[in-house]
Amino acid sequence: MRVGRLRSRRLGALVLCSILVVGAGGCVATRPQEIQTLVEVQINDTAATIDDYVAWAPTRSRARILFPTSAAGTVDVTLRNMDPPPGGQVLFAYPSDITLPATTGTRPTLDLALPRNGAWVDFYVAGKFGSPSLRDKDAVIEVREKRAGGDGIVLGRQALMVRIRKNANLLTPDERDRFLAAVAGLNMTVGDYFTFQAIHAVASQEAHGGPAFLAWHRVFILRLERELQAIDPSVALPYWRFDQPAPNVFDAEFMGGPPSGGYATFAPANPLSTWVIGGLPGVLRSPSFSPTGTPGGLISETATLSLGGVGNLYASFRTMEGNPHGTAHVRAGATGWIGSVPTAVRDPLFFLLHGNVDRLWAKWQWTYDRYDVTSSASYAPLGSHPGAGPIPIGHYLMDSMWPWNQVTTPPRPTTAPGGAFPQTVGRVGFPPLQPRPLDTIDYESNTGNSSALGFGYDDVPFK
Amino acid sequence: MPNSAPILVLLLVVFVVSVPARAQQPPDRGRIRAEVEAYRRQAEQAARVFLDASKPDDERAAAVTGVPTFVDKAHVEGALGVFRNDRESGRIRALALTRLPHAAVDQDALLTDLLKVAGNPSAPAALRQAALDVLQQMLFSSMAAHARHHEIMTVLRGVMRDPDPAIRESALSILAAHGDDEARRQLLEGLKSRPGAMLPPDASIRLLGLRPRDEIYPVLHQVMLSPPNEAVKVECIRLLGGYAPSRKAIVDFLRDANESTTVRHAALATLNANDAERIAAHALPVVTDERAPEALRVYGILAVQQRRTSPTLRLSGAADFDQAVRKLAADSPSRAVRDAARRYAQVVSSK
Repeated sequence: MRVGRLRSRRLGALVLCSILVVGAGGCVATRPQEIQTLVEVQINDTAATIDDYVAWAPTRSRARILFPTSAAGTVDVTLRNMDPPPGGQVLFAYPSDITLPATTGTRPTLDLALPRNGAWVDFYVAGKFGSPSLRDKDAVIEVREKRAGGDGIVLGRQALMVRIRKNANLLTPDERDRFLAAVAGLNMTVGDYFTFQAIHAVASQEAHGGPAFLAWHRVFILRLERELQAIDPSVALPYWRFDQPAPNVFDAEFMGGPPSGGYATFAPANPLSTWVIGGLPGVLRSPSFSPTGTPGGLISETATLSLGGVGNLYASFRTMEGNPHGTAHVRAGATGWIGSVPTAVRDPLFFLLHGNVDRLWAKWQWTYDRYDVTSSASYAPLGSHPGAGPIPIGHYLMDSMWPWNQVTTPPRPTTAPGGAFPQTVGRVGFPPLQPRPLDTIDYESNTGNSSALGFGYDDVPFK
Repeated sequence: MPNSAPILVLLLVVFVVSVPARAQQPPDRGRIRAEVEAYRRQAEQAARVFLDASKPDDERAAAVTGVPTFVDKAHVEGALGVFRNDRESGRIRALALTRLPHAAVDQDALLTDLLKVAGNPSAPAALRQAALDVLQQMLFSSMAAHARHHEIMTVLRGVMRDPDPAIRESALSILAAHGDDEARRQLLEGLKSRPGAMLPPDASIRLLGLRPRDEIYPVLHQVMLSPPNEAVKVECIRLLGGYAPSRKAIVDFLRDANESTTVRHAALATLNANDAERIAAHALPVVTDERAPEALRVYGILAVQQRRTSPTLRLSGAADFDQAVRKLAADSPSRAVRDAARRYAQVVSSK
């Protein structure tokens, strides 16, 4: 029996399992790779483990007998979570459960009949709201032989992660440190962070002041998040909930403590302590609020959700671009980088700020059921740019968005850094190479082969 | 298995795996909608009091304390009217302005009003500051602001020499962040002839650093060599890492044990930003000097660690640095340095 990399608090469970299972005549280990696998489970319908990450939306998956025979018949199995919380928990669904309007997994266990000939059987798995993962692959689906009167033997296990965007002020130290290492790595080691600065510096009309503000930034931060996940797949972009005190965020161990000489202060071992961008060292930031306070004049979440007006319409809701979005930028650093469009992305706090902007949009969508891409209540204006008019191209529902469309002829900017939107294993097409606002509205759509854009927020349930 | 084992096992299960289930309950749509409606009613009530000019200013201000924005269209229009009314007090006008969801009103018209207020030295200071604040937010969020960028910068240039230092700094920071040539020229002139400076020199240099251009470097180089104080020297060092004539001086600052930690840290940081390929060579003498400040040494180790595994960067002196760090991990009397060295070894060896 291998103990391997088990945490000490699991050691007792391991001993316990051994006693139980040896007594029952079955397998003897608790991690997926330590049993003889007889049933294979694939998340996202791929053998790759790099895409074994789910959010609240249902993710298509499948299972099969690993050593098929020519015998007829099936093996009855039950899928369930192996470990209780804390750590990620999932729910299951049969394909017939997933109907329009959208539904997600709701079953804590799932019974399947796996053909002995090795044919795949489809099912869906989704993160259980309120039980996101704390670590990479800490959720484990266990496949047990279904027996009358009790548990059968374990036939297979599949680890995955319920990877969710969380309130930055509530991250565990481990979650925080993984995020910091990934951000610093993207900038200092891989060297690709500057591309985001280059994009946003000239994205004025493409991304601001118009209807596509929210859609553009949803794609922009998703792009960064996927770059971070290429470094550490367990990382999800946390959000700065700017209408509440966030002392853990504005701390030297995280995004920077009270400024010294106009620059955020970092603990010596904080990966952001060596931040450099565009030939400039440090993070120029002087918030107008203390770490235990909140930005003055910034509207609350409830007030933000009210901006949709009497009909709760997108055209009104998107005015949140002014306050709280613009207010948060200016309060976080009126004389620093984050206070102006051309320089804002130099400060990595930008992505936590926009994480919250996006979360507020997601929350509004959920509160008022705004996912229907054919309705102007969900997004306006519909259709494509008519060729002229006060709303620039790129802001209509069906318009491709710069820079991912690589268009550099007027009225678009003359450069398009970063290229098309890179495709990710398990999420090809989500979003497409050239995202449109259309592709961002129903971000948890289950009509495809994956859980759409692949993110969710800790306080916004599946639609 | 003994007969009492199942009970023991059960107790073990409870003991080992019983951690508090912290699963969050899903939010309640109905409750959220009710809260939003309650806020709308609160905002409406607050607006009715605030927009009643017959009430005392204190009562009107108190009414909107918990209401950061108006929602109802008529109230938004009313607040716009209060802001535009120069018979109202500066305080009330500023409160009205900050209650406007400015993205929801005619932004061209609002911009015109903001520029008029910001550029009027006779307007109340609180109102002007609020106008500059909203202007800066609109530069983030308004297509009208984008279209009238030139006009906005022109007005802000007029505010650059305002007698109020807070207003001056607000205007200058917006201009500097947008790369305004006139602002840069004025800030530079102020550095050269300090009595004429609009802001303290370290603040000026920070603003120049928002969008640095080549013309600032010779001036900063001279200031760095004869700074009025350490804060100014540090700001200059931060910006001069990529300016070749300053390189030797910066490296000398780093190596000079008589320089303050702040100066040496700025030197190493700017070398990290501008001479990354040689960061190991720059950091090595400091990192291996047991008399050097601990924070500086830890910075050096971390900076090299982050560059060391870059797929595109070839660090010169990397092998020597690795060897030195291995020794530090074993021998350094400083715990912080040992820890940093061990993390370095872990990261570098795992790649």
